[in-house]
Amino acid sequence: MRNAKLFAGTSHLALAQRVATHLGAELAPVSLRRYTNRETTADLGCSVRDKDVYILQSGSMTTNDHLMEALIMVSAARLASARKVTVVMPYFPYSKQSKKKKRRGAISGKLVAGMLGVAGADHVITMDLHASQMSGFFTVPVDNLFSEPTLARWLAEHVVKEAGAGHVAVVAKNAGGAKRVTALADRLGTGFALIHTDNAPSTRPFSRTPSTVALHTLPQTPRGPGMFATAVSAAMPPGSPLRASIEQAESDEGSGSGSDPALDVRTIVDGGSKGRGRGRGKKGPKGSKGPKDKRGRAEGPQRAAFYVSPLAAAQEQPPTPEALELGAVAFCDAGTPGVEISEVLNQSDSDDDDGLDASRLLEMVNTPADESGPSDVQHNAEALAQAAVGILEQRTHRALSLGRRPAAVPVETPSPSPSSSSAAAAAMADAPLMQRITSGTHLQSDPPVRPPVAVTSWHKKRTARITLVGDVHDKVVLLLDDMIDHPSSFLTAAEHLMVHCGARAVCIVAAHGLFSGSSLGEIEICPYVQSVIVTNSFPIPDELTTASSKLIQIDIAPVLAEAIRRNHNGESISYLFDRNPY
Amino acid sequence: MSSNSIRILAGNSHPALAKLIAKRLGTDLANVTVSKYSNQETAVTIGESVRDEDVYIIQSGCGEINDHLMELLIMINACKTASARRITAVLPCFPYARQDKKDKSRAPISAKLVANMLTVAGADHVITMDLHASQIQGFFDRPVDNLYGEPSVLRYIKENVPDWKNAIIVSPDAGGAKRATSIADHLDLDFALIHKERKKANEVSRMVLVGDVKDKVAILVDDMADTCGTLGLAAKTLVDNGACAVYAIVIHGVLSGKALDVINNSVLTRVVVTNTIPHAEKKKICPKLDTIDVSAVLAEAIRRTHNGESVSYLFGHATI
Repeated sequence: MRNAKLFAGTSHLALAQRVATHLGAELAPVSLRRYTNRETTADLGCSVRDKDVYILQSGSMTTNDHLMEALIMVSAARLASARKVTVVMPYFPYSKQSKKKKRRGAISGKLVAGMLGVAGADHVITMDLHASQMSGFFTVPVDNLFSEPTLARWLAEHVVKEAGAGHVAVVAKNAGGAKRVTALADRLGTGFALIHTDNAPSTRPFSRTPSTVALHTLPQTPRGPGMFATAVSAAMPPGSPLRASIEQAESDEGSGSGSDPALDVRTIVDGGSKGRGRGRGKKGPKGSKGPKDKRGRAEGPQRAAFYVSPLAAAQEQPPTPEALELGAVAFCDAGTPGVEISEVLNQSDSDDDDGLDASRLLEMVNTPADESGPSDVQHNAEALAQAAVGILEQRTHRALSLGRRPAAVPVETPSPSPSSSSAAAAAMADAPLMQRITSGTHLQSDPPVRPPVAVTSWHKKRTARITLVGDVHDKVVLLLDDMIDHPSSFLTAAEHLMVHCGARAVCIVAAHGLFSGSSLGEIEICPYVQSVIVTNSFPIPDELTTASSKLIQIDIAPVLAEAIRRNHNGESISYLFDRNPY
Repeated sequence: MSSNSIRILAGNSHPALAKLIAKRLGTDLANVTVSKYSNQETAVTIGESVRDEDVYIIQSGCGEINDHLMELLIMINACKTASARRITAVLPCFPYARQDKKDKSRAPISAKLVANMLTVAGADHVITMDLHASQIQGFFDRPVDNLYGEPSVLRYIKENVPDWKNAIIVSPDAGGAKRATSIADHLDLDFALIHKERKKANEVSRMVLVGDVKDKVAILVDDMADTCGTLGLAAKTLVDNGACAVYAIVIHGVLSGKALDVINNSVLTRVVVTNTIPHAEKKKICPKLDTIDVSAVLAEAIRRTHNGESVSYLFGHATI
């Protein structure tokens, strides 16, 4: 591009590199450093006078640092007489805070928009804003791109084609996502359904749809949350220094982040354009590179340490096959045979558009005798995180030592063929032990009698009714939302769909995959989710993507690159809203 | 300081609602003349002093919407220059609220423009009701109180829909699903969803009902009804699917164009709207129309704002 410079912040260099490749341009040199007091400074390494400057910075797990970095780069470009400064933010930070929750909330999304304007941005390019109304928060033009065409194409080629349009349903896990879901369903030509979690204190039994019928006809099956919680106690003693390692890593990180971006580039999926869309298949060999990869990780950004340190802890006491077996058995035993359903809802998602607020929550919380207090809840969440990480690491470790990449089989078949469960079971035979056992639980038609096990919940437990409006019986379900962070509400929904509604398989689909903490680990050990499909708009560390057998990332760099190119050449962007640029 | 009191001013958009609000607050409407010059320019005369007063200007977005908006802006500005202490624009129905995003290429975000205009004119505070999208609050740099008609709707259903325990709440489009589920939750009822399927660009859209309405009283819930085309079709879909009666409850009843004909000829049992928009005349033509009075909510919000009390109480409770 003539007279244009593309700069990348440190949040998502892999994506920036791919965008640059698509544009046939180089990333312009910039030095981003931290002073010892953690203040950020930017030094643009080339002249931008009278140039169009594009600054690519996504949200990340260190949102504030990266936001500040972007603002400083914008300001630097503005002061260096750039003709036009365009900020490209594939994931717009604070976009979930787009409205006043019922009372006295801040609209932080608007604040960020204002900050970008004040810093000197002339134009903003972003993707899948949580609410499209947010483009009104800006004083400058905003191009809100959509990942839907890209995701839809992949889904059409891989899921809908295999299962047939009549056997796929797009499902929203809350009423707020209904519009998104109907749009995708229309595009794919499939059916759709809606999950509603009714938080009101209930006077009736649980369900009120055909799923009630399904529940009574289905055999009792182990329930996800309980399983996880028991797996926690079986797999790993609480108290391993997880938190400390994060903080340690964060303090270590300050000095390391000042390197030249060009040196630090790591591609998320695979360099070749072949791997685009089905990056999954390419990731395995990377993971098996082993030691070299690990070393690079240890000195990488701080989230690397999050993953490395539990592994180090695990290596002190190497996991024996017996221990693994034990964990798996605990997994199976942890069913809750109760008839009454008390669902687990996670609070982290209640900031979604569920319209919950603290006081309503209090009213709604139904406290049974075994309800754990808030501190216990917190503790459980942490323990679960540790367990999930631990199990993941054990699996990875074992798989590596056996010389094969983790859980290859379910990856290669993101949606099952329409054939019966026997074929699925045959496929399972190749899968690692854990996978086989956990998947097997809902294939059994007559489960063994289990002793009652108290359910320890993820966060808060309250009686809630999950209702499915629509039909997913014998269908592959695409559980769609605009972003996924903590997956518990997805997992609860997936469980409901699989266990009570007769879905054939559940794939989570989201534009932005944030996956903070142990999210990917939780998805990994959840037997009800077959795969999770997101774009690479948000940086996910390599060690997480390689450790997860269910994660599929779709590359959206072409969309961003095309938007930048069109912007630069003064062409219409709206072409991209419902078409793929390549 | 004791002289600092509420002054209620009203434009020409909805004098009936303004009178109701003033009556509830135990005060009179301030003496204001809003008229037009012969060249159609709006002229405003504030007939009494508003110096150091807490001024509330009630103007809904309806009818001659641009004229009414201009009236409001000029009244705000007139009060500003007349040294009012604080000016609150009370917009029961926010004008241009549906143009809140770039839903098409090159579409304007007119709601943001209106927000800027109100700010520039001198409004210090905005009170409105059931914004089409709550993100519009973020278009303002001033505080915005977005009131909810939902508590009033809930009460209406409980008091006026016979056999409401056998009802099902239906959203006529996917975007309104959240509103419907919220009401369904509060009433402990089921809910269903109607989706207008667009298979191809020029094909006649088909309505798909998701959920079971057989032998139930269907209550359609939406935030705004304009030409009522969707409502009419949705009602037909519901009856075709076995609903025994169909109510429609809508916060802002714009009811423009052929809306009244559509309602009269539809299978709708009753169409209930709030009085954020005047429809006294329409009621004479359309006997199916019914009204929920929300003046109490607005009056209470004004009173609480004036006294510095919390407004959030009103979000969950219907005032009497």
